[in-house]
Amino acid sequence: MRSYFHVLYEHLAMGMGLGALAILCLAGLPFALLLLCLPAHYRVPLGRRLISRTLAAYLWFLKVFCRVHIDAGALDSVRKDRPLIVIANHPSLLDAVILLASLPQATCVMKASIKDNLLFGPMARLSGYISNENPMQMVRQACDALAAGTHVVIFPEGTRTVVFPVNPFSQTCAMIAIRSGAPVQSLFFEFSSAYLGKSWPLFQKPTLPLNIKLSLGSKFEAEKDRLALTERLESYYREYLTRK
Amino acid sequence: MLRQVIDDFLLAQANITPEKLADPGIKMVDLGLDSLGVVEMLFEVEDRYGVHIDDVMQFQHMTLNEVVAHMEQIILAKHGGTWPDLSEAAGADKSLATGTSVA
Repeated sequence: MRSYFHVLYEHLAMGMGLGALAILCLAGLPFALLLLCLPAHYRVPLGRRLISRTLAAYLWFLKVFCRVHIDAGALDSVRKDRPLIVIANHPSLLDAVILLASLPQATCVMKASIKDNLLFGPMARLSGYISNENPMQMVRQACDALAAGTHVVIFPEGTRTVVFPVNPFSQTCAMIAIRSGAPVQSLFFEFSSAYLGKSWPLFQKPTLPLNIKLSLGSKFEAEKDRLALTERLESYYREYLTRK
Repeated sequence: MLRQVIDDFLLAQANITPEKLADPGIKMVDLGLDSLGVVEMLFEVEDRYGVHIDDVMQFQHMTLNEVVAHMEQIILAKHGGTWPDLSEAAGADKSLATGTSVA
């Protein structure tokens, strides 16, 4: 049975973890607002590096002070690869943090509402992340980013996982793959608990240690049919995660 | 001419029935295309005619005929009032297939 002190520590770690993220985002806010004045070709790479470093510092904090163990070595090969559409399941808020911390020059397709979020919006705008507000612009911007040599990170479930192992996949990823010709690199997140998942209240303490493992999956070449590619990707994820 | 391109696309790629296309008053929402289907259709027009269409939502409540008329205006405006030669547009199409921006 876990001791009283361990439970107390879990509460403390949660407070420290959430507080650290808020402090880092707020500290970056003036820089982000200042850098937004720069032309896009300076601003975007700078913004992505700033986000990557900030999130890497945050993950270091979680590892050292909050007993969060992250194995994301699978991303080493992805980082060096040609421009890819990087997809992953989305069980927690932390998986986006891990991907963006480890892929410094990647762009990300994100919910339109994030752009208006006080904590994350300015950084997201600074880095030229792609909003899903207008599907035409979203596909066009993602294809342009891939043509320019950038990885594009997408969570094909569209939101954090509600129905495990994965929510039904959106066809956006397949459409971008077909139009850009870029391959789709699959990644799998596995968490020891559902911390910061869709059904996990923000202020509910985690069960520590929290172990997060990221595994490299198959690479899929673009097909002609977006529905067929989407079904192939979704069934691949279902099969992999159910087997685990 | 544009109507034929769109009809061909809808018949071949989106499995829309010829009966639906024959209805002069049919609205985009009644075609049964999802939002990405509409995007695919618009990309088809962009690729062929070298135009840039941004606001996909504006087409949602139009009839198919209105969409075609609207896009014809965009194409004519882009090409100085004359209808573009499709053999030239095919070149633009090829460059898009390699990921080059439409804009």
